[in-house]
Amino acid sequence: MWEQLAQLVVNGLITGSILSLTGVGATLVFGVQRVPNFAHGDYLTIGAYVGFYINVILNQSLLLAAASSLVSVACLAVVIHLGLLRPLRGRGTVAISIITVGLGIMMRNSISLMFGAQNRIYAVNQSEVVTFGFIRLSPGQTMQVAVALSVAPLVAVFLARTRVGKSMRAVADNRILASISGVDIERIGLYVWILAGSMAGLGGFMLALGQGPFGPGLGAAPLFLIFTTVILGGLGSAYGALAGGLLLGLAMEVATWDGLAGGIDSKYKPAFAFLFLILLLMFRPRGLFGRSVVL
Amino acid sequence: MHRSFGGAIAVNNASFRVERGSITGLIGPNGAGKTTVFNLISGFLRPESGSIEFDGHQIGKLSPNAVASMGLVRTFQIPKVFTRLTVLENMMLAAKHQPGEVFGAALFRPRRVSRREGEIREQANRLLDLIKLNHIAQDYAGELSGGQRKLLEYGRALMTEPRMVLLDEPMAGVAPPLGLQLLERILELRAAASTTFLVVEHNMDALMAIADRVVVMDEGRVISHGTPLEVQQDPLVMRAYLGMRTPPSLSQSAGVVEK
Amino acid sequence: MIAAYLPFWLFVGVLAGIYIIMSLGLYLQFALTGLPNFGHSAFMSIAAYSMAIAVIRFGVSLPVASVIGLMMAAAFGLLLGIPVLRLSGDYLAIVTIAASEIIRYLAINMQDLTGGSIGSLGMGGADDLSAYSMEWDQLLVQISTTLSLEGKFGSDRDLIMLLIVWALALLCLCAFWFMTRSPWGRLLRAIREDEVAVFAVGKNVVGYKLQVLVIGAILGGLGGLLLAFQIGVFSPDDFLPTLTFNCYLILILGGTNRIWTIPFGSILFSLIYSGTRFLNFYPISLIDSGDRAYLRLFIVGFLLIAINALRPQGLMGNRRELMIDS
Repeated sequence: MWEQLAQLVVNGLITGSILSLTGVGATLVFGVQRVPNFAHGDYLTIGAYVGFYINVILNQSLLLAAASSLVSVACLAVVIHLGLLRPLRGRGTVAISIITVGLGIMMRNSISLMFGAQNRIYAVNQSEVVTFGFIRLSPGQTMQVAVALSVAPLVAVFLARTRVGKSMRAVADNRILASISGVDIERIGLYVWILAGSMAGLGGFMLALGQGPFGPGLGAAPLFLIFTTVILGGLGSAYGALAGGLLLGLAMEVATWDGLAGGIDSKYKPAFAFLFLILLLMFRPRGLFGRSVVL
Repeated sequence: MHRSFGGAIAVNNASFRVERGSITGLIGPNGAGKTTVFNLISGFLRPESGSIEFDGHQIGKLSPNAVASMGLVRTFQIPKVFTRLTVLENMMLAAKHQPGEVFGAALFRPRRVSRREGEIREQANRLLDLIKLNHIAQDYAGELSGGQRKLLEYGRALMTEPRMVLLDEPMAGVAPPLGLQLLERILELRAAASTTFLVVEHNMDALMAIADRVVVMDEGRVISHGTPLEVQQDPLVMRAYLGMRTPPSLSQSAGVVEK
Repeated sequence: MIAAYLPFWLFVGVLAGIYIIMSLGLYLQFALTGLPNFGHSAFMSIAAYSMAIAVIRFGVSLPVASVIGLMMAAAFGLLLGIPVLRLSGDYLAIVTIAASEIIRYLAINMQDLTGGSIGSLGMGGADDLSAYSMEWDQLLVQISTTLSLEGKFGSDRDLIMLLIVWALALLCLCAFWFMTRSPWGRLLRAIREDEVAVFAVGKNVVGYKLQVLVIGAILGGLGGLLLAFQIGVFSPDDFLPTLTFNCYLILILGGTNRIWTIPFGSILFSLIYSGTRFLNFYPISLIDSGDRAYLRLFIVGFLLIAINALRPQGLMGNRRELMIDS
């Protein structure tokens, strides 16, 4: 039973790290650009497919695939920002939301048109098992851990220590104050999309790696989990998203633990996440770290 | 009342009374907590401790619409009008007792609804005449100037036939002729219906001219209260305003400035 | 061409009518009251599933099951609304889409109840094959014989369906047209503009928002029921979020300010959506018909963006009323 718990904790941290990394991007995009990006899940999907193309079709290493996923989606995010979202900024968040929904639909269906709807898989042998003490992971999951462990601390340090990272958080927190303090809002806005895009691309790669077979709907499913992470941490709070993602991942996995009166059936994990979100919002309508609005 | 945000105390056990039928001013330097007090009284914020009593009822825990339906309405520093509704619709919306607001009423009780609508329309037009906005009754509220919006907000508050009105800087950003009108309306209403007014205002000339009593706040506390003359001569009040832009009338009417 | 493809155009007509009812619900919530409900498909699927479950698993008659379906949709609206309506618009959009995905997810995973990914076919086994649609078809046949149509306009079934759906749609449009011009409608519009001010004049904002959410849910549910009747068998994939955004596209096409632009937007949408079938010229002919579905969706996505970007007042709205807020 305790071994199961340890396993679940590790799984939870893996899922959580994907949610954290992608959540940071989504929440900063919202905080800095005021764009609730409903296409975020599809950014993940594109990252996964680019990685697939590099890894399987061009027969390159996974490392190169990871890098390509990251770079390609970062570029895409910037193009969409400069070409579409920035010019239309004044339309209001709901209009922008609908526009991002349209983007997501276009992206998802372009992928279906280009690659077909059948499942694809990375060149990783998913049936092996790697054992670390009493934790058992598939090779895909092991690589997820590797990526998470190398990237997450970098992102955290970036946000906490570098000037750009700190500026991002400042703008997401209080735009007016940040601009008065001399922050170049436009440039930070661009950097935020680069960060969000890279993390989304990488996240998609990681997700596909661990999941095994995947299709064009890969990113759409975790989209609402990513949003849950964002809301959990408070819209616009980068640290909140980091913490929230891990918390959510853990909560979902540990909820299936036998030690909790049998635990919930694992197929209800997303439903549980949603319930978790609703309950949290009832008691803390601004999420864990969100700011309250003064009239 | 006591209320803080995070670590900062906005209203620090401030306490005062407002006499029925009076026009009471609430003044103080920026950040004194006046708007927070308004938010507390009108139900948009809940006091962390203390109580708020209106006409014998405890209203501290009520929702904003419950407070308003008890006859205590407020206006906002930056007027909140319904931009995509016409001026007339803005007014008619605020009326109480509208059977037409019930879902389905328009279909199943058309006569009753249109009768009441007629009454409300008359009342709204009367008020619009009074505040001299009747010539733009069919314009969208979003097309109005700042001063006109303030008047509209005031008119809308009057539609609820309130017993007490909280006015948040009614003169701010309003051209003097419109502002003067507003003052006249306030005096008229008080005379006609004994409506009580609590007015936050930075324009001291205007306020001192119409207020019966004045309450002064600084840094979340009430530091003085009394008639306009008493308050103007209170050294505590002058000290609170020193170091900030001193309103001209205060320095003019002050007799001797004590150290 | 029309005559040869009559059954197809009848189908398009029925679809347009169903979308009118669904979009009307969304109109009340979003265009009138300002609630960005991105999970409208949840109400549709809950109504459809509840009805089918009632008929197939509990042997309830069709009319009663339909009412149950609508009530379940309303109940879900209430259940969702109570915790969620206090949240600001951005949160609302996200939570509602999450809710609809959860419902779809539950539909896929609670196989015993809902037939899983196979949907209504999987509910009762081969014998009970979508029993509800048999009852519905019988009803349609009855109406057809009373009106003595007997095959004059091609498929009877689709024609009756068209009449029923459009009768309902027009009824709803008229009823709600009156409602939106009443003080009730005025109050909802004010909530859209500035709910704080509405609180400040003593109106129960939360109550009205909840009301609108539930009414919109019932309309969505009605659309879902009609959809279930029309397509005979359904599965969770018939209630993807794309359904919600089709409705948004319809509202945007027509211009979100008037109720009577909804039928216009709905017909236009159905034409665009189904008409891609007929685009048999290069380069579209390169894509085989199976993949055309993706193209169709792609176009929907593109239009959502294009119209929002280029003509935000819709094809029939006017700019003065738009008054874009910051």
